[in-house]
Amino acid sequence: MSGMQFNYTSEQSQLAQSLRRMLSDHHGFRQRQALLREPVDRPDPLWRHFTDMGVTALAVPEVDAGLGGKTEDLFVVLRELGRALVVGHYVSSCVIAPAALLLAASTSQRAPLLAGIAAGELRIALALTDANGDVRPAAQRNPGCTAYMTQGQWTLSGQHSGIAHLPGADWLLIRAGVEGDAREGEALFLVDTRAAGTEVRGHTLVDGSRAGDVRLQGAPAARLGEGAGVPCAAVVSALDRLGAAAACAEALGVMELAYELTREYVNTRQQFGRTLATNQAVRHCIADMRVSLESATSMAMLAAIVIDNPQASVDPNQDIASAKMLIGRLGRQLCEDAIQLHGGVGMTDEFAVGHCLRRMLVLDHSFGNADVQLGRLADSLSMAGTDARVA
Amino acid sequence: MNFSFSREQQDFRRDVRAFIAENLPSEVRERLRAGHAPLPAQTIAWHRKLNEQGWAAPHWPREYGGLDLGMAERLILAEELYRAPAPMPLVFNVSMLGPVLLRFGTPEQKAHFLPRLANLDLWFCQGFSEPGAGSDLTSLRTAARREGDHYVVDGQKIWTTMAHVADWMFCLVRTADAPRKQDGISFLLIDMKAPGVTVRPIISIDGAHHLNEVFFDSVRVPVENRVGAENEGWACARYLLGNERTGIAGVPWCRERLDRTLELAATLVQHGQPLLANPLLRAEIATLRAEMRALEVSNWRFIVGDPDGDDGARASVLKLQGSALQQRIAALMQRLSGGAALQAWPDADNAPSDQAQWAAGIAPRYFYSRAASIYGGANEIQRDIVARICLG
Repeated sequence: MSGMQFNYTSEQSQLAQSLRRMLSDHHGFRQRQALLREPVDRPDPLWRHFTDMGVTALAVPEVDAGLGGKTEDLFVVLRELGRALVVGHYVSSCVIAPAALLLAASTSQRAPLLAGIAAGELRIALALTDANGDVRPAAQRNPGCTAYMTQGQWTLSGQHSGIAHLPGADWLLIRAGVEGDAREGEALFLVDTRAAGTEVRGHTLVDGSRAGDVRLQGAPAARLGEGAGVPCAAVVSALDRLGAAAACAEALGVMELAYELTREYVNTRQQFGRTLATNQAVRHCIADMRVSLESATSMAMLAAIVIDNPQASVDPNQDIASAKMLIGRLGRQLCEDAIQLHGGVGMTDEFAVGHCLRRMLVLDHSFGNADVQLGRLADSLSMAGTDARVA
Repeated sequence: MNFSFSREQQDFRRDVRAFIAENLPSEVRERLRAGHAPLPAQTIAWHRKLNEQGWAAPHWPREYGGLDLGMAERLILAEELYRAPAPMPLVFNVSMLGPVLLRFGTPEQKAHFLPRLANLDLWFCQGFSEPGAGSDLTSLRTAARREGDHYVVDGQKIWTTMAHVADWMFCLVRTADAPRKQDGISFLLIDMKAPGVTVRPIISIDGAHHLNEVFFDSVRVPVENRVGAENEGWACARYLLGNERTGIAGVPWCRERLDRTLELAATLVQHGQPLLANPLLRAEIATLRAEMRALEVSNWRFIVGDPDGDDGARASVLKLQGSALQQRIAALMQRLSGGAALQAWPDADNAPSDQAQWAAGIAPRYFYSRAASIYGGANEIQRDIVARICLG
């Protein structure tokens, strides 16, 4: 996007419409609920459609057999996935993993993997967070993972938990301390989850998505970049920002779904001989939801824009953290209000509206929840550049 | 003005606390501390244990299993139960149906049902809402047609908590089509084992089965199981709903959960740092504690300290504040628990990992708390009630 442009291009509109139609045909609410009851290693029925439509190839450069799309194009896709409450591994396999390979892997390492991602053939899970970055009881300190070089082969040992989309993944891209490497400290490694030395324990999250814990014992691994390229910390930060922007796009779609379900419900449901929508309290709540949606739209778009074009912002990091924080809060509030306006049916598993809130919680948690982002934003405030004086 | 307890009330609190400490099974205590509801068998066993002391229905007259205790003692008992935490006596039996029978029941109904309610020999559920009658409860359509010495009931109830476990139901039915809808409603006691009663589970967004739909297909109910006069059931319902509002604010629940939140914040770490080291979290907990204190004092002021000062708005005020506080506390517990709390329901395929067990009850509790502003009179209705009283 150059200049001021917040509308979709015609290609983006077509992509959005095709995706929405496909998801409506193959991932309606009932179909989704049935899909979530399937075992995790069954092939994902949506995946063929994603591949046919090219969305698996969007984040892969043309030179690597992809479509060379930008983050703004991924925004279009992710918003539709959010709106359909899709909880598959698209973000980790087709958004974050390609970016990680482009940032950290050598050309020869990444070529076959990117081709596989573009062709929709790979499931990749990512464990990029600090092993103790998630909340845990003090007694449960996680030792993390360490990489050892033995006779020309890297192996990883240790554990990591709460890895999104790990069950059923072919590859795990994991951050590990490098034994004996005083300079680098940490690096990113690729582990074949089907090889020896890898033990995965899976569980299901509240939104129906899969996550897991991994224990590695001498698991053979490939080090990304073999020491050349961007330092691990910088790569992880960049991927964290991309992940936050991706989560914002999906969350926007979820909020739009919750809002539209509620609008339709209050215009239909009658009590006291009139529709719920005739009540001022309900009308004002819908209006407030609309206000939140506009903020979320602006910030989710901004997050995608500043990933593609950091020059577009005075402080891209602050914009992304602000987007993630606001959308986390506004998304939760909107989905809670959606349930409230549905009354009793909003509390049931059978209606889609309650699942919007469940999905929103997982999206908020991924890549740093609203509270974590708020802490970063608060910490980044300083008196420099203001007229404030310390007495 | 004063806010202190008499010698007798302090002794009572101490006795209750000691009784709970000695008699509450530790597995029940731990289950509730982790945020789960007690199992039905645990509810029954504990309810009967309390009943041995007369504490299942302490406010009832002695002749029916109570101790004639006043509101202050009821509140002290509730505070101590939540503090433990221990299961409360079954609200449908002792706070809803029991008082209705005391006020509107025949001597025979009181003699038969009240002791069985107090001892949870019969588990009652509440058949009020219908798919078309939620906030607009008087538009209910479940019909009871008089046939000699029976009513024949046809219709459907929804959101019936624990109907799948219950022995009986107290049920609002339509016995006449009157110009004012509430003038055609009767209050029936229905045996859930009667032919024609079907219960269908409703799974709620916390992944659990508490709620149900109940269908009535030509169910025969003896006329002597009607409480109050025919077509005067709405007076029973209004009386019951008035009582329900007082307890439903959940004030003592808020205190125990907020204490548990503080404990979690002090013992959970992120990047090696205790959560409570974060000043933003401390500010949020401090605010919630102050608001909870206000609600706690209001509860005492309304119920005991100034009982004649009610213009009718107080029950709604407590419900509005209490439900909001419950929801904010449940949300904060979920937010600060990280990924562990997001692992889903403990069924065979989806069990949380061992390391996440400490958080297993937290997200379900958050999701279920969304109902606090819907059941017992939704927030919108409560605000209308308060506004009407304030503004006319």
